[in-house]
Amino acid sequence: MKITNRLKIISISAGILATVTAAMSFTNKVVDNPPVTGDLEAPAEVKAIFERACYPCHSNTANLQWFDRLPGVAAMVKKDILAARQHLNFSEWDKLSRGDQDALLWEAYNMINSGTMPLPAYAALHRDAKVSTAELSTLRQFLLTKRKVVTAEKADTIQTNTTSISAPLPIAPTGIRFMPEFRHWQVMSTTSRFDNTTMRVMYANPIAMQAIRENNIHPWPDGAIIAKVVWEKVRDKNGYIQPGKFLNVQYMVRNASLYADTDGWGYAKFETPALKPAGTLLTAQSCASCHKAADKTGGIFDLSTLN
Amino acid sequence: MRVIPIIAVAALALFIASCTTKKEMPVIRPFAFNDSGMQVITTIINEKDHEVAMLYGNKAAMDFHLQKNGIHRPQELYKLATYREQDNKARFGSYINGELLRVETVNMAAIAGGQAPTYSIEVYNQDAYTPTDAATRTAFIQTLDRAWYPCDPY
Ligand code: HEC
Ligand code: HEC
Repeated sequence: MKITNRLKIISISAGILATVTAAMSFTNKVVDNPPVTGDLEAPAEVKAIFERACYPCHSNTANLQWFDRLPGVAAMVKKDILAARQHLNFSEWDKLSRGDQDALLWEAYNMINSGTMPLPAYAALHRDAKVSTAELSTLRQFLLTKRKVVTAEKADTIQTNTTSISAPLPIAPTGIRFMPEFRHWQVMSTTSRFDNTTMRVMYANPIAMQAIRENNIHPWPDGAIIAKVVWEKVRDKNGYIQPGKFLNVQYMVRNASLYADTDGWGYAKFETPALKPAGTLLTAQSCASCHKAADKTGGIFDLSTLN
Repeated sequence: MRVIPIIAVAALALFIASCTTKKEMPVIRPFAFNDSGMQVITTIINEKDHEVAMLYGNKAAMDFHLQKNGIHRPQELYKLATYREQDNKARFGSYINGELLRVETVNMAAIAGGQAPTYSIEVYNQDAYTPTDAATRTAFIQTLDRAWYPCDPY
């Protein structure tokens, strides 16, 4: 009896000690919460979804669970929150243009729908972070109210091309050169966006086209290249939509080791008729982070699927 | 005694995460009409009928569009491939070409003998399709402008 009592006391105090030590080593403040400068404006039912599932990382109102403050875990959580805010911060919504706000809302939906957001490891621990099928439908209905209609009219004449493209060809920060040869590659697909007013044609080089035919895209083979050409849509006299102003050409070049930092794809974007290389090396990181939502098809979005 | 919950929670997280990130692979549509060796002249979207078409041309057709002197040559060959538009499963906010519906061909060879270009149509994946008359379709295809590509002619 005496021995067990003593054991009990010892183990209880040991327990208390362990808990106190653990509690003391918990970081009370994982991240600072800077002031909210301008919160997201959206219908209440839409906002509630983002507040519950996304605000813990994508706002200045991080409200963390006890296990988020555990030593080790806290550092990871902090890193996630800081990165998340940089990409999308609902508490500093006013800092974005109307167009950027809308683009982010469509992106947010697609990130959730593809299972990319909330981060899967986080969603596994925080059951309330899950966005239900009904909620996804609420978000879709909301986005459909933001559908863009094409009003620009097609011009009567097409700008003439100034002879052929001049050497040296422009080079993106990733070292990828503009490749005019895509004009002879096969078309992979064509898309028409209604979250903005652009239309696109995607081309696949022979290696990429073979990979598609053989369904060898997990991962795509080294040497595969996809090009995408983007235009502003215009409406012609018959009401049909045609390509208007040329916007840019973008490339994704597969090389698993060379582009390991961006999930094996090298990114390049050339803007305006002058084909100005866009962005910096950091831009490629943001290209890659958004293309994670196409993980199911090896990072490539625009593949037509059977219904 | 926080250790047990931490390990349990971590294990559970890993377990659930591994389930939720499992890839269900969408079935990719086999490609139809993009191996003609011809170049894309332009893309036309018919929002009303939910269709998207690609106008392809051979070298002579490309030359006609790039020179824009209005004089057709018998060597020109045009193919207008029309697809049903479908939701882009990988992205809400975007339509993508789906099933191939028809390929219309305008062959200019006959103009060498002073005749009208020949028009033909192949119909796919649809039961009933009433074609408009050949002259109207030929005229439609011929009046389409090219899309502006930064590297043409290439
Ligand atoms: C556990 C923290 C966490 C939660 C919760 C979370 N995210 Fe994120 N989110 C991140 C991180 C980290 C990044 C940056 C990813 C990167 O750098 O690759 C990010 C990036 C994004 C991006 C930007 C992608 C781009 O284009 O660069 C979007 C959009 C996004 N999240 C949407 C959401 C939505 C919508 C929710 C709620 C349903 C959500 N996130 C919940 C951590 C989180
Ligand atoms: C905010 C998300 C986002 C960012 C950032 C982004 N992309 Fe994409 N990208 C997409 C989506 C969505 C599509 C397909 C949708 C469409 O074309 O209608 C796409 C398509 C493409 C394609 C055609 C192949 C495919 O995946 O279907 C290329 C090439 C491409 N992007 C290159 C780039 C480059 C280069 C950058 C960086 C400069 C970039 N992307 C940044 C979302 C993004």
